[in-house]
Amino acid sequence: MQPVDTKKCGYAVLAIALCMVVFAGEYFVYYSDTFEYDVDVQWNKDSIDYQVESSGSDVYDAVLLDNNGKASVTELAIYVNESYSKYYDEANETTRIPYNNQDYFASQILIALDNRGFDDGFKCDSSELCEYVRSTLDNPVGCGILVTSYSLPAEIYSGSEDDILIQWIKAGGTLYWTGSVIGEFCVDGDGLHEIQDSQDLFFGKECVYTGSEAVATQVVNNGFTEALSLKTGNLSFGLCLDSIDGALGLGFEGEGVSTIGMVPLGSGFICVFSGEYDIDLIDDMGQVISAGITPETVVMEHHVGTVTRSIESGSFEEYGESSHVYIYIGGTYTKFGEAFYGSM
Amino acid sequence: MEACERSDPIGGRICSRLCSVKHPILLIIVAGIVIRLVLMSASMVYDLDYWAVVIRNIESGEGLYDAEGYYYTPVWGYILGFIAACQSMLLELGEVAVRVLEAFPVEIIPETYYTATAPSIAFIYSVKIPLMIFDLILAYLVMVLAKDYTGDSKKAVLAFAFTFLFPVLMLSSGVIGMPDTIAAVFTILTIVLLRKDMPFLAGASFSLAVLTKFFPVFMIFVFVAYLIAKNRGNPRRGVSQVSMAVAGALLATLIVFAPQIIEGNIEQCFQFIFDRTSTVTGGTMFDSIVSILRIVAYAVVLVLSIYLAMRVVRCKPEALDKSLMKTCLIIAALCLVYPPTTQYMVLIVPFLAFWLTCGDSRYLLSWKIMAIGSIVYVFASNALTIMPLAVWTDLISIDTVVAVFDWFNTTLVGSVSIRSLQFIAGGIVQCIGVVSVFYIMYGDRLRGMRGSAVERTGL
Repeated sequence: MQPVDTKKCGYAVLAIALCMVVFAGEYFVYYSDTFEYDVDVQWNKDSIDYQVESSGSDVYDAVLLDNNGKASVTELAIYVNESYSKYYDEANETTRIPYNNQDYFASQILIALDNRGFDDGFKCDSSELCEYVRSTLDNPVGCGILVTSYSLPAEIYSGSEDDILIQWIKAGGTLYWTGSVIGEFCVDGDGLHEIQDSQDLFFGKECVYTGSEAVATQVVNNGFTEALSLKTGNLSFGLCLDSIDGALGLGFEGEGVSTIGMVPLGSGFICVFSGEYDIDLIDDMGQVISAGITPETVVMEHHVGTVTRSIESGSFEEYGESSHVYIYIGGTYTKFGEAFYGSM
Repeated sequence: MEACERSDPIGGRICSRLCSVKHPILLIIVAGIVIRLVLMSASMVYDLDYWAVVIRNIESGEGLYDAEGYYYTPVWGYILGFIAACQSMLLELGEVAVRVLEAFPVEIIPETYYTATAPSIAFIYSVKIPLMIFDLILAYLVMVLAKDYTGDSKKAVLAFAFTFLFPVLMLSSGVIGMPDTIAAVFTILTIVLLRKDMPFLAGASFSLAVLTKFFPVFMIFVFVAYLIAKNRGNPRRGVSQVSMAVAGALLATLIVFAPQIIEGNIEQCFQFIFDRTSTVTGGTMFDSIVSILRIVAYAVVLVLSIYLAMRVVRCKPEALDKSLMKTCLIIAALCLVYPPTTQYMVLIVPFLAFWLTCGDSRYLLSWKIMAIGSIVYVFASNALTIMPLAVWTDLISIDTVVAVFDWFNTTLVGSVSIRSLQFIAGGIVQCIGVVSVFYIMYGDRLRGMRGSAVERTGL
């Protein structure tokens, strides 16, 4: 019998061990239930009780919000502009617009929403968007449209106050916008058309920041930034909310511009996220939309805690009739969340 | 040792001092670990921030590629998955990152990759300590090779020291937090396993090396050539060994890509390669030229690696092992001439450390140049590297960090600042370090002297 080469065995063991670390990691990434999270809320007569559960060690935030009667968005259509690339260069000549991959952008937003318990979002192309606006025009309350493109189909928006989209917002719909000057272009069979005074149409004044790149210098001091762990600091295409009635700024601000601006229009509202496509922007969108923020929303109470391989509980003692709760796990890098709308 | 002292008195004194210690390897390990533990508190926050995102995505159940954040082939992502599981099961990290308002302006500096997100110190250490363990394994494997080649324990210890204490390695793993050390470990492990007649495991190891970082792929021809040359007297065994290696590589590759193959999104795994070789949409003419040059450069490396492999096949049996290590050093150097980035240079670390202790001590010059270049290069983001310390401890204020960074970033002429000058200077010095390897290797021939450097020292 040949003697065992212990050194050779040692190298084999080392190689196998290192391979196993990689394959074990693969198992954790794709096949295991190592990472489990859950949150729950119980509405009682005198309090709202909540529970947060994590298989790991995480920070969590429980936020009591009140919309003062305004409905949150519970259904979101994300516009994927099929002619985005076709007219991009033309639009970019008028205003510098950071290029984004429409479909990928929409997919990332849907993932961010889904991880925060908002599962009623979907992508739509131009014809589907028009159909969605028309079909919900009678009662668009709770409906949202998210636009990451620089243009809209002329069928619903051509720069007139009579446009279906404007009517839809005034009837209670919500328009989320990012990455360009809101409503600056529309597209029809003849091509791209620039719309003058589009900002007046939406906000009653010119208020979109189109200057060279700038960043925020302070936190908007109303509790939302901390409560929702908002992150974007880039002010591009953000709104200057000074002297706009009923407007709400969130996140950060600089040069009078808020990174997230909400402006009421009729019964509905418009929300503009500043900045260019990146992970922080996606996360901010996920937080704001999932948490059901409207221009009427106020942060009533904000709890921060740590949950370590267990279940943590807490409660809100004072709340209003239109209060709701948003709980998320992971803080700056939110990995799980859910909003709860309920009653006693 | 003698060769070491002959050509470099200072290096020689260091060698003598090290070798006179009773347990020098213990001293080296302790020194290397202490230096790393101190360095780890400084970070290239941009990369660490991304690892935090990747771990978040994994924990959200999005795998590696569904949610934005991971752009490499899967191996490093899986190791981050392993780290995430350890964090989840064993640690209490709390909040892993915060946004730093005062640092927002760094995010809009053109042509740079800076972030105002500061990962927590605990998170940073939880990612970098596993990389340090890989550094240690890498140094151990180089020591094993050195001992095998020379039979000299002192040279083996020196090889360990020159690997583990190489600033390029320390900065890549300890400051930048990049996984190139893992690719280097699997590459060196491939060589060890090939030499020990374990081709199946060698193939698997090589696959994991390439799927961690792309560069070792250029060594494939050399490894195949080595197996053929090693079994020249027994071609059937040679074919069998090559087949076993291919089987090992294929199996490991299949396991690594299984989730992406099942989900049908395997193209996402190669974004890293395409990003660095394809022309950018909306990019400038300069971007296009750089991309094309990069493709040309890699094509040249590919052709040269095939040529070098053919030389290995023709190598005499007694010089085969030597030829393998020498060829790997050349290929590693060829890959790293451009771009001269510190983390990429990790691949050359084990080969350089091996050759300067076992072959030609003149490579110490390359070692020193690369060491200096890497320090200059990595700390070009200067004060930002200690932003996590400022945010998560009371050691220094954020205002001070930002003020120092602003000073370094103040433009001198046009868009040129001290920071950008330091960055470029670091890259140039690193590039000179890589080129010096060729100079030392072929300089004698170029000057018409007889015999190569290696033959002169007679390994």
